[in-house]
Amino acid sequence: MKSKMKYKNIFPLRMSVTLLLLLSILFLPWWITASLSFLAMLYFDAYFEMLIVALIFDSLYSADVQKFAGYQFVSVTITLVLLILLMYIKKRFSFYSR
Amino acid sequence: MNYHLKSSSRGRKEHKLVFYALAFFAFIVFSIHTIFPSFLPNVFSTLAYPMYKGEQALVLKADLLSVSKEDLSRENEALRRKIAELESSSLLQNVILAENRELKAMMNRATTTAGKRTLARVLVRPPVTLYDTFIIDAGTSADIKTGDRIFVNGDILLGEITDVSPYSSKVKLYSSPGETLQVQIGEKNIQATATGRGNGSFEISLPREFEVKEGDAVIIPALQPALFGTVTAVFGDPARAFEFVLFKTPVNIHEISWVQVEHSEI
Repeated sequence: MKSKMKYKNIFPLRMSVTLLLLLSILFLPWWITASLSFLAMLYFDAYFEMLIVALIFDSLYSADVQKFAGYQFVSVTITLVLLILLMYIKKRFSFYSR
Repeated sequence: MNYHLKSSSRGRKEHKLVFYALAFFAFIVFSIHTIFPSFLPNVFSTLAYPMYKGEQALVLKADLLSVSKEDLSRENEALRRKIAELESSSLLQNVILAENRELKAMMNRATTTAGKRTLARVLVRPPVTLYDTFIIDAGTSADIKTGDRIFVNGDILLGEITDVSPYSSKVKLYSSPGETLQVQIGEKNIQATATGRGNGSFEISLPREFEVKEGDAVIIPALQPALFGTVTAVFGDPARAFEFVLFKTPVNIHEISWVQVEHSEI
């Protein structure tokens, strides 16, 4: 119940940040988008919206580059791994306990 | 004093649920991409196209507002002078080109000048994109197809089209990391394989005896060769048999606003 209330309070902020990230993939250098995304994932609990942002980034800009062996979902994969890692790490830090 | 361990069965259930949800997301994305490879790029680029256009219109308006008429007219005059200078200096080049065409015609190897080309504006370029890709404002409505080659300033080859949507296309630059391409270097036309390093730069590993030097031109071998780059640095250790050649596209890829799409003959 308590966590539901908290989510309701933070929902507009999460949506605004997601919108900001969507705009940043269209107009800002990728490293600014990447930094903002990482900060957002650190700040919000289970920030799964980031997967959609990463999917749009990959769909818009990725190509079958040899360096990634033609794999086109590099950002989605990195985001997925980071989300799972952060979920486990956050549980172990009292700093994040809510 | 002993403490009860926190009951984690609920947490474990939540974790399992999250894991399944993520796995489902990944499955859906990869399935869509495997069955319809251009579906996701098409959908998102169609949605993003009006935003890119809007941004360009805003930037243009801001530019016009920030420059006075006097400045514009001065710049216009300077550009006219520059064009006149360049035109006179390219006269010799035109004569040599005409002679080259005549000689090829005499040997029954006449080439039509470059295939049909379409001018396109670059909507997005690095560093907004991570993978050395461009988004240009010409798509299937302008008869653009996957595999069409991209040129800048006439004869400088940059890359090729990889995805096309109705009003925009994605261009993969040959300088994308790991991309390889056959090229010829310098006056001796040394054959080599260039590997992209990103940001418009390439590397080549060559035996030391080839004596490549800075400033040598790098071209794509063909009956009608296309300029590809100029050598910027050569690193060689006298103790080693190979030297390392770095070259860049002659234009800065961060400053390209217009490109030409050469339609492939399919």
